[in-house]
Amino acid sequence: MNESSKRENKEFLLKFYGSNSMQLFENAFSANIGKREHFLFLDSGCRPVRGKKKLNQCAKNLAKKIRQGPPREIQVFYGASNNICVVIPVRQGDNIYGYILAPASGNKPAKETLLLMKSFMDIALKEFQKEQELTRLYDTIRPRAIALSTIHTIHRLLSSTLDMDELIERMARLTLQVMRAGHCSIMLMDDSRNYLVPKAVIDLKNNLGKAHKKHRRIKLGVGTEGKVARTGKTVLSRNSICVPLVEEDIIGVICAKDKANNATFTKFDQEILLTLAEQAVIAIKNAQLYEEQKKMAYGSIRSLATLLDIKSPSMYTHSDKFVKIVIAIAEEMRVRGEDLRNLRYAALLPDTGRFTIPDEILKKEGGLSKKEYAIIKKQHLESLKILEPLEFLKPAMPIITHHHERYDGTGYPSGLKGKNIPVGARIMAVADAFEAMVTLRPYKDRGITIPQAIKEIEGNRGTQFDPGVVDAFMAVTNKPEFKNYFTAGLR
Amino acid sequence: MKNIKTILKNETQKKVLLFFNENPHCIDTAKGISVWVGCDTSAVKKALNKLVKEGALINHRTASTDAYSYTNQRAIVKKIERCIKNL
Repeated sequence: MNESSKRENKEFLLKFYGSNSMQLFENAFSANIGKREHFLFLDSGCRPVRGKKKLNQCAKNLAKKIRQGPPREIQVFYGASNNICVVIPVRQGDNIYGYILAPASGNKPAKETLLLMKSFMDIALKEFQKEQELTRLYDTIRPRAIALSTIHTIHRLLSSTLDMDELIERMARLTLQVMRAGHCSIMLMDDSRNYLVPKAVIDLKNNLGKAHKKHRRIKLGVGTEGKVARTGKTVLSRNSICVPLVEEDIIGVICAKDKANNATFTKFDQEILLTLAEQAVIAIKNAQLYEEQKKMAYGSIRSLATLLDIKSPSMYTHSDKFVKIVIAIAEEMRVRGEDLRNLRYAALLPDTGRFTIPDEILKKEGGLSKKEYAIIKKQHLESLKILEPLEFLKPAMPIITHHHERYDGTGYPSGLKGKNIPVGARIMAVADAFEAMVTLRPYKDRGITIPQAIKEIEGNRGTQFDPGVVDAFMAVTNKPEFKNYFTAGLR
Repeated sequence: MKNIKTILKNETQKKVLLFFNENPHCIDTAKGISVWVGCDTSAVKKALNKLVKEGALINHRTASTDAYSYTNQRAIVKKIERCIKNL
């Protein structure tokens, strides 16, 4: 038997010695033959398995006897003063792991009892092996199952946002957590594909966990990150790990450094980070596609607005300042995400509903007749049909459609009242009225001053306008940046 | 983190904290963690939120997912480890 097998056998014996299965055997032995406290464990070379333990003379003699003719089955030996000692080989097939020397407390045990003990030992060994197998499975599968569940959770966390900045920062924070690292950076390739641009850098030591983008770009091939981006090969060192983000081409890298407790990054870490990088690439690509889609939608709306402006300047669209006022009020009212984006779209095309309204009605100063008002109501809805084919504008349509409603229900086209009017439409109504009052338009040569317009808006609080929106508007007008919205074109 | 000993008096909190100490790289939902520690999900959720409040865990919350991970503040981790050793 070589040294390695001897070592393995000894390890097995030591584990068996402390196992529950051995306990069961000891109980059975104590009940039938002798006390368990006197058990001695010898390895296959008849040395005590607990290295420092010295054998007494009796045990030494026995060990010598066993060495001379190692028993393959349970056997009774006679020690000094004819003491009876049962020697139980711990054996499976041909492999003998060691022996248990167990003194009997009474007479020589009957053959049947010895056979029973042998069966107990076989069962105990089998149980122990099952126990070992379960432990091995637990030790190998459980960490992987936890890691798999972690990756699944990360996938859920990453796929819940399409905002690129938010996504990259979240990715960096999650990498930091999973790798138990003190530093994480995510860099993406620039358009020239010659440089890596840091998109999120988190350093727990220096930045107290804040992500920032002030780090310098890295040339491809330079430094660990640059090399990984050029070769597409992972670099794993004691203190850092850097993996490429690969779609069809390399789009960037994720790097983690400074593992907790000065531990080293392992192959397991590498495996996890590579899986995480795969998730990251999918999430980045989704976010990029979404950004492109948003840009296309925005571009289409701007084109349409430009076309409408060419036909009749400022008749169907308002200035960029109008959009800014709408967004400022909305932000003041904590409108967020998709709702804010739809409001922005609506604010770019607020008066498309005028498209088929005759110019003489639109440009008429003073009050409208009932007939003219009826035409406006009818044509407003008619005109909006030109926006219907634009699928991405669907969520913005109620805002565009209803921003001429009045809070008291006397507006058009549907006479909606109070909170039945979409919030975006209520916001746009205030901004629209404000801009109409202070802007000089081709069909209107008189405007009023900003303070007068603000007073007018406030005066119609609760009748024409939603009180909540008016409050938000007033808050916006008190902000210093508000004045910057009106540098030209307004009085 | 004020008093780890008080936290450890609650059996579910103790199990969750021991789990994260043993698996510090894990990020999972309350449901997932309840499987790993073998406790009822609602009790685990309560324990997780308490541990987040105490600074032992981090909550990663999005509109659709509520996940938890171990703190990355090394001083807190050391403090927890000292207490766990004395259990």
